[in-house]
Amino acid sequence: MAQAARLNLRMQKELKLLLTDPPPGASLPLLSVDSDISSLSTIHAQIEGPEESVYAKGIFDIKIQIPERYPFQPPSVTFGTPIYHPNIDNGGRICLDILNLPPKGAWQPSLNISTVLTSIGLLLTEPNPDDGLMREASREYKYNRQAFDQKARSMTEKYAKGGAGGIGCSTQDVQTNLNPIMTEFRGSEKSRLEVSESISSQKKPWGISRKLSLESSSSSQNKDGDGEVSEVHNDHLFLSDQMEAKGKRKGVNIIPDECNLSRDKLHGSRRKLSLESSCQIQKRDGHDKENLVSNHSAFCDPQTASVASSASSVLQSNKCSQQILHPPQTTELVAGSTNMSTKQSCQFSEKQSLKSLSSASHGASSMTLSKQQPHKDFINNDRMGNCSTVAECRKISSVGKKLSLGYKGSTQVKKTENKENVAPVSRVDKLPLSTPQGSSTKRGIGGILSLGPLTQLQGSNDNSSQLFVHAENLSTTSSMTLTKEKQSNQEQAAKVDGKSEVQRVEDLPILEAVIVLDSEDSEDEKDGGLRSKLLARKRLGKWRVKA
Amino acid sequence: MQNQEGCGGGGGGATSCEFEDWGSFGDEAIIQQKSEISADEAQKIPFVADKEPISALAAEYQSGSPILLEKIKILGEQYAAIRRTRGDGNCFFRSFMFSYLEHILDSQDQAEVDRIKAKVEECRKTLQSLGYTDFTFEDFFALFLEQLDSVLQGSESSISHDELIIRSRDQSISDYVVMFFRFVTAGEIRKRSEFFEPFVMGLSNGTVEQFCKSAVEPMGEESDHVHITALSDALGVPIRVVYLDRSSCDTGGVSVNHHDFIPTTSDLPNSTSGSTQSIQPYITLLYRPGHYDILYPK
Repeated sequence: MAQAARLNLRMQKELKLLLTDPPPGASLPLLSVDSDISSLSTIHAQIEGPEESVYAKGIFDIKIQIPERYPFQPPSVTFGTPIYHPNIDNGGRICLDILNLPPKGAWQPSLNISTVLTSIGLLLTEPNPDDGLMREASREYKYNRQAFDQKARSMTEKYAKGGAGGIGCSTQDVQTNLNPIMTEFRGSEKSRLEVSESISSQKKPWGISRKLSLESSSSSQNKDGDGEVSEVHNDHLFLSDQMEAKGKRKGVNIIPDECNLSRDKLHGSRRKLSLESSCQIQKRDGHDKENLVSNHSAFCDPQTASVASSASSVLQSNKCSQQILHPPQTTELVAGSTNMSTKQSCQFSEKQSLKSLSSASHGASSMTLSKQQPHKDFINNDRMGNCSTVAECRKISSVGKKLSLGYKGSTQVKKTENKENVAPVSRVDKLPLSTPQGSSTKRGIGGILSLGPLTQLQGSNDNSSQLFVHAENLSTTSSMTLTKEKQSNQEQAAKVDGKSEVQRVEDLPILEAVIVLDSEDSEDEKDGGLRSKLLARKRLGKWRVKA
Repeated sequence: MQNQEGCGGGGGGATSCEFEDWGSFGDEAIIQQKSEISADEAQKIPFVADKEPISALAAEYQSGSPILLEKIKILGEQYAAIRRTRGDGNCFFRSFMFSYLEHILDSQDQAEVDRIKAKVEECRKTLQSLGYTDFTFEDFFALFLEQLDSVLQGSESSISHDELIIRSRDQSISDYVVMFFRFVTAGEIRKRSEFFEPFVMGLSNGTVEQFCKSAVEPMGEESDHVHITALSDALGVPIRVVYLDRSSCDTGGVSVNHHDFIPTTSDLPNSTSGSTQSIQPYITLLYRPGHYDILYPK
């Protein structure tokens, strides 16, 4: 017990110093000089967000636990306040070398709580994205600093400025969950935040939805004001969204178990969602009109961009993401009036929504039902082609199968999923993520999914969505751009001719290559992701020429 | 549809196990394995073991290299006993601690205690000037000084030889003293960073400061020549290290070589400055690659 006595002595000295001469920005609000230190194994500290950082003016709660063998062992320090930071995860865990013992870390007995707090302050000022705990945040910090700053600022605004309490009832929360996500389409600045939240909500559905509920009113207020700016924002927003989608998938890969668990949890939340559906539809009606309006305004932009062809990669990707975004939006729209179509979209919700997109927002275009049919077939084919590509890789295949199984099996789940698809990020992503949910009888798949093959599956998913985009591109722009029309004509003609089989075969190696590219590149950086998309386009282009 | 179903049967199952294995092999697993190893080691040997005759060493190498056996034989002529220490990365400091305190206990050399206390104060100032926060090291200093007083007989807190062994095996004391030595060593290296820099460069890629942070101050980091030199210099305590390895002389004859770490500072006891030959280190450690034990001369 000499150790305990000595630890006590040491802690008294430490706390005394912390109280009298705290490191810059740090404080111990719950302690005073005469506190009974001997009973303390956990110290609550607060750190102010450093001036001129994105966390400025925020006050972050920090929990410091002193181990028995302190100072031989490092204190365990976690954030109590949610923060958007490359090195701090959703659970508040901090990736900081001095918080771990060597050789992994750099803790040494000559350090102390004061130096730890100072280091954390520095970490807030200068995140270390190269050793990121949060993949998407790291990536954003490095390559899309603006988006990162925005998210970090709004997280700070939301959680680190007091009054972030208020735990609501969960069913309520899930319902409100939808509103802010839908407002995303209006491109309000808030939406970036929401996107990040929808990401994290996969890990902690309840906690996040609680937060969302706090935000929902304000973000829906925002939407009107932001209407004009939306087009500008859109570009940034969706660009980053795509990146996030990728980052998130990576995350899934890394922590498979966690994700599996949380998927189960999500499952629960979705059930609730579907129970709430009637209210949501009512709510949606209001939004849908706005959606439609913003749809069109947003839609003109990418199209012109597509006419302008691949002048700049950024534009390209914007277009991609915007068009990816559209299907679910219109699905919403259609769902409002004809709920059945959404429900029936067991197998390929995206395709369905694609179709509905073309019918809803491009009813005036030259598209006819007969044209839509092969169009859809084309997509289906592609999907199958994808799947057989996968078969060659031998990993994705089973997943692909499960995917379809899952969709067939659970219309209820599917329905809610469609709603959640409203969020652009989740749309691309929900697919792989919700797979185990659908096929809950085959739990094992979760493991397979989340491990190795996942990247590929996601790669392929990404791909297929890109394909959709292309297909959509072709169909929507068919009456507008001569070259595009030509291409789409070629494609459709090919299909009508029944040569689609041959095409598919040709398609396979291309697709595979793209898959590989995509999964590799997304490892890299944002640029890589864009590049791969470009590449995908190029390759498809080649293929078209071939066809 | 057919396609999907068809290819669904192919992959999946076989690959999953493989990946699961990889998935569970992370930092945590490595750390756990390390702690298991150290727990294993702890069962085998206390921080400071009992005295053993040199012949015990010979038994250990019975089927080993003939050079080693030859060397152990020679060792047996000069040294009476060996006291093993636990191979937890702190063995040099732990050996030094026990050996030094035992020397004071045996010799009751008040002058040496006074001298080293003055040195300790110097080290304290060194650390302060290097920017260390007082409370981060003063507990360790206090504990060492406490042990120093205890081994001197004639006061209430005096301890016996057995008690010294018990304390050396008590982690809450032993580790603190080891850490004290680590502080002293780091302080000395950083104080004379110009002198140590070339040596440090040979051991790591970083600066002297980084070296201290990564290889001196953390517990369990093994000691090298640099550490021994610095500690010996900082405390003014000469240390002899006897090397037991498979090296042999060019001439073919086998001899046990040793190196004396003689403090460079001038204020050594019974030393006429400059003549380092006259100094007979009273701390003798046996070095076998990767580990230090305590040797007892005849």
